[in-house]
Amino acid sequence: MWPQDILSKLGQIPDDPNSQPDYRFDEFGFRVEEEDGPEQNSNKLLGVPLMEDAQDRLKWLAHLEFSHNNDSSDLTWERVELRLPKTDKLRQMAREGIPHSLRPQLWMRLSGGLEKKINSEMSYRDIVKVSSNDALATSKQIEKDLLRTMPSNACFSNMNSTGVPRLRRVLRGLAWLYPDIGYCQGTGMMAASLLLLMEEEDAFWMMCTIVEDLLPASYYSSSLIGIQADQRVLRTLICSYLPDVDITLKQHDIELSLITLHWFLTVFASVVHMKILLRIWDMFFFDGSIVLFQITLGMLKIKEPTLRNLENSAQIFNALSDIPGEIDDVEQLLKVSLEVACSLTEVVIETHRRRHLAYLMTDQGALVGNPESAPNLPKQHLTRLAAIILGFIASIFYHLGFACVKILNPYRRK
Amino acid sequence: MAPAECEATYKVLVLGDSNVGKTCIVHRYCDQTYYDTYISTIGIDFKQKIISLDGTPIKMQIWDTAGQERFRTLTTAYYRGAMGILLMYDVTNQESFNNLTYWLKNIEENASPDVIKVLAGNKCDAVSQRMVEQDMGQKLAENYDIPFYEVSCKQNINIDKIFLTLARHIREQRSYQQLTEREHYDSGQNGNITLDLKSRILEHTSLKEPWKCTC
Repeated sequence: MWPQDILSKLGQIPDDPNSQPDYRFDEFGFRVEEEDGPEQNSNKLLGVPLMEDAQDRLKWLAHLEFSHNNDSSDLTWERVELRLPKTDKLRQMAREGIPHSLRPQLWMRLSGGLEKKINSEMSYRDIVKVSSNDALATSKQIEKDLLRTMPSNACFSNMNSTGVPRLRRVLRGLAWLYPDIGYCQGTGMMAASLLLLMEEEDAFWMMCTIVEDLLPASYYSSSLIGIQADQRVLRTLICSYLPDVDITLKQHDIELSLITLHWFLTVFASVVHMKILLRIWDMFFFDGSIVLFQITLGMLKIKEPTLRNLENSAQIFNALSDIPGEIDDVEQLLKVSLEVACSLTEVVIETHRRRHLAYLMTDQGALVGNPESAPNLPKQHLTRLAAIILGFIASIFYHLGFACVKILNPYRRK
Repeated sequence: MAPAECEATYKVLVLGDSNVGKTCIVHRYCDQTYYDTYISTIGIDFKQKIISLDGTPIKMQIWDTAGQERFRTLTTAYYRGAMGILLMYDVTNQESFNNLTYWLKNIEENASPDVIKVLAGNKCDAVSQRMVEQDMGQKLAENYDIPFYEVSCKQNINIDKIFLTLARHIREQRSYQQLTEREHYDSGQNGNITLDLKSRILEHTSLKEPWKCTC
């Protein structure tokens, strides 16, 4: 879905209470607030449109060709590996930013999303079919949130917007695929952001990859224990990497997780400008959850000098909440983030995670269960579910006298 | 008015099911703005407003929370230090009303025992879609002995009133608390000072029955 296509349609929708035809939209379809005259102010984001450097694109293509295409024929996406090997060189390139036109293809190949899509025994189309039930409790919850996800974006601003049915299908598919999660508020923000630049099916598999592989277990489950543990890990890391911030938080008795939980929950989708988000996600799809900590530490580091001058906890709380929205220099953010967290590794995070998970489970008793034993059940689970459900459907149809072949035909509707 | 001039800060939580209008009421009250659609709140957000409570400047710190059930597991952190709770349902959504008992139980389990509560039935402007009659809300509020208003963020009905009611009750509660604390502290010391203090607070807060012990 390309925002431009939708923008052209926007004029034809007469009764949208919240949008007016004379609004200006940016390249992602977000309404531009022009009160301050964005061209004059210092905000680099609003002033500069998203431009792709041809040189950068060539560099990426050359890298792909050099490392993954041994024969001399032309480079096509089919020839590029499903999953790119994680070399330091590639990591560096991802940190410098993936050319926007290559993002959909590269995100799928860096995160493992493409592998998941291809190896899944159940196609997205089948998942959409089995999950398209309006009566489910999750479907009702999803429905409530469809217009409350990106109201300022032309693709999601009203029920006729092109993005809305796609978002509905993706979220219902996820809720069906992960019954232990159902629908978790916040996932819509990520799905909608992905839908702004990817095909619906790919966006779905990216979401699966985020839930299953990139983030730890129980990030979105009803206990939220995985993400709660990560909030405690963050607090521990602040203690060692940003002792000044730690002191401020302690002195003013600020519960940081109240602020940062949704940064983590949406992988920053709800809090930073789209242009910043793309760069963070370039890193996230390469390195996974460590990026959440790197970026959060970086943001706090940038704000550290300001925090010192604030007097009361309300001011500090507000200042902390406002950090992501105020970031306008993505290069500085990434530089500071990687500097401040330069010694941070997966192993350090994992060690803290286990410890905090243990504490949380002790606190919450038997209500929660062991997340290690019930992770977000990756492909085996999907395969098993698919087999059970297709088997079930097939048996019904068999008894009804239909040929099973027909139900397996993805184009056929019941 | 500078924050420093404020007599006190009252921390207030807005609770209730998803999509009843929690963010909406906070924005209406603090910023005098109204939009049909807000991004669904994940985690928590807060806004402040300085009000004049019978001439005394008070800072209202209003915390807007996420409505989805799973986020309630995080509520212990929200509840910390909350003096007042605005519990909300949507008069066009029966389920949001039915869930109030759940919310009240949750409040009882997590909030301070003397937290002040008020009940708001939002979207009372939507006459044709109404599912919950006003006397239903009234009856529930009476059962729990909490003030009740039907409100409309859209048409700005009863919004200031309900927050003012909350603030007033918080003030009464606090002065009563201070009084009992002081009384405790002063017992065995100079009785005259205690008496003097009592009469001063009595005058100041115009409580009807400040001495009636509720325990």
